[in-house]
Amino acid sequence: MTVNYNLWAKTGSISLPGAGPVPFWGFAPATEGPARLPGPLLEVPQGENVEISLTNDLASGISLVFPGQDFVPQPVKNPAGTFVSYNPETASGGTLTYSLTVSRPGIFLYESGTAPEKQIQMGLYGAMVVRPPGFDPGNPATWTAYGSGSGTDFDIEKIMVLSEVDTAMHQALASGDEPAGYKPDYFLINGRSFPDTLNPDDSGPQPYGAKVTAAPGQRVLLRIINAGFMNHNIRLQDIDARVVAGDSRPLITPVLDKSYLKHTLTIGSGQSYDILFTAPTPGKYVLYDRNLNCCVNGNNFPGGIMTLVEVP
Amino acid sequence: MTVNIELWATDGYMSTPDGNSIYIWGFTDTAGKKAQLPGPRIVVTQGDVVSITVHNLLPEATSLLFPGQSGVLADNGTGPHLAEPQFDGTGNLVSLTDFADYPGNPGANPTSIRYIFTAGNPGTYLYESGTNPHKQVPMGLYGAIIVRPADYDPAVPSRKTAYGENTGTEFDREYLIVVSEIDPVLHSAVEKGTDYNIREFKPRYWTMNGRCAPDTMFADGMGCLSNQPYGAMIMAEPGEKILIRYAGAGIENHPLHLHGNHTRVVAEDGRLLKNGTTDLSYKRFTILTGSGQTYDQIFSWSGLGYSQANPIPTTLPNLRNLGVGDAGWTLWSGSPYLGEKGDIPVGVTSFNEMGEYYFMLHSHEEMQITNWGEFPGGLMTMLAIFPAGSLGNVGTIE
Repeated sequence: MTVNYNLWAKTGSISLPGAGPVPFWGFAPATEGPARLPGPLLEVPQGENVEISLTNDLASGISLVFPGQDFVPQPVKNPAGTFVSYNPETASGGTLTYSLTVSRPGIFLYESGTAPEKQIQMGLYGAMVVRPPGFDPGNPATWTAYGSGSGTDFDIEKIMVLSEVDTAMHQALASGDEPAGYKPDYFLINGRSFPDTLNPDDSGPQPYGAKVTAAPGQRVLLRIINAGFMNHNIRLQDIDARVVAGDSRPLITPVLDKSYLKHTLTIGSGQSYDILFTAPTPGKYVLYDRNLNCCVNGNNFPGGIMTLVEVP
Repeated sequence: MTVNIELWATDGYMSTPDGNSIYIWGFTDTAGKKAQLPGPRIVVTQGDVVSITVHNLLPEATSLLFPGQSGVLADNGTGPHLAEPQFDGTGNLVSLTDFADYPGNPGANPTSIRYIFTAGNPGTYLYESGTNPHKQVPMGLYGAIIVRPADYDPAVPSRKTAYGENTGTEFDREYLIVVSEIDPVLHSAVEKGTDYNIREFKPRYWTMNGRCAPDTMFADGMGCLSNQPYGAMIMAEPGEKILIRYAGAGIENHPLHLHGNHTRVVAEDGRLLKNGTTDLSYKRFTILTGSGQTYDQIFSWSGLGYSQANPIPTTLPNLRNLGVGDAGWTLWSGSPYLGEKGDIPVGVTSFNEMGEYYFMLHSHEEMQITNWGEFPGGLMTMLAIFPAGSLGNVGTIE
């Protein structure tokens, strides 16, 4: 079967605590309505053929790549033989369809493969979650990350896309100037900096909240994927969490359990980890970046990559 | 049993090998003393109830987090309760956990706070500030905790372990290396009360146990390093099981690399790498010591063919691994044979005492083995293999 998506790449504006409106480039799920940071979450069953029709309302060519999936990009050279893009471009004003078959479950990025050092920083990325066979959104008994026997049964799921923003770079690129360098001043979970991470989902340009609420004893699956340029050291304070998959490769099979416990986990740029824990006694538990310089907004603590697991 | 510990959060100075003296915040376990770097080692046994009281002498509130422990309670005068992130009246987060206020704050809360937890798992852990941690942790408000397994008995070899009998973690000698880094501009700004821009964070010194090389190779408790009491030199005899505990207390990740040897990582973050009978331990010659994380490794120096029955290595160690200096000094003994000393070229000074072998242990991010740009320095120490029977009880943590 084929699952069709339409995405529009547009300019937009995000709000970060203590900063004015920051220009960004992102993907929108509709021709009207704002671009989103991160892009719309794509949720598809394993085995489907996914076709994404991308319309480019930006001034320069863009493309899509799908790291970690069974997808072979076709690098593009210009007539002079210089490499220009990891995958065929959607020209400014044009529309192009990208397709792939999602052959295994997990959490993945989709992101621009053209001038990625600029376009990914500007916001052209999003997450895709591929559901294992048997997954039924309406039946909690079927909720697993990697299928039965993978030890990934969960009651609560939260996807967290990590990234950074250099506001000066955004201003420069939005004005058509070359950036002076990369020195991020904002650090994001799902496109938001703390304390905005605590706000519920909404319909604006940063629609995804990052707060986790779970009752004691509930199994919580955090799916953390790093779309940024930096490595981040994610710590879950006072909770024993089990790493059950890395880069969407499950660590538990019926014959071998390679999962392990961590309280702080280095998540490299482009990598993902699935971690599972049981919600402990009622209280508030902080999830934050142990690279403490990423727990700020500009020069002010607290901020950045930080949120709460709340057990009421 | 209950272990009661008192810490004072205060200030002090650390020395660097290039003659710098850097203002720090840190902990001491003796009233009236200056801060030390890192904070006092805390050694307890699994099952102990650990009660740590912090007395705050700093000019701002401070607190302690205990990553890897769970169910940590705090008591700031109103009775023990679950330690939790603290918010002000308008809902702004002010501390990652319950804190001790600072002396002189108008309408202040108590300036002492007690944390209580049960040491549930053996292993290596950090304690560190959870208040303005982007400033207080780099300033030095961190230290390490070693939790012995419940059946620990140093007199019984099968129970002198990191994680308990039959976990494959027996050791003969153990060493703890807490790594961090120093941006002197931050320290100077805190000392003078001036502004500091976090985006300009640029370490110039990197520390093992609060010291920069070559001070890392001095013994514990050197008088000239009065606020940096812990050495970081690893010494062992052939065939012994060496336990090295790395703890990343800094902001950065540090790829720590031991010349000539591969170590086996048996635990991370104080959790044994074993699921039932499945052994998840792994060998590395470089361990990316992530910030806020710990790595316990065990290995033996088997000496390229060396054994008790064959004291002369069949394959000689690579000279490049043995610290042969080219600046008028060397750690080389002059003889390839362990325990033998030979001739050293005229004009070269040997620091070799009794024919031991030296293997460098350093960060493979080579900028981190400098002291403000000068090599050698920073995250560097030595593993020294001494002749059998010559070491006594070094490599013991009490």
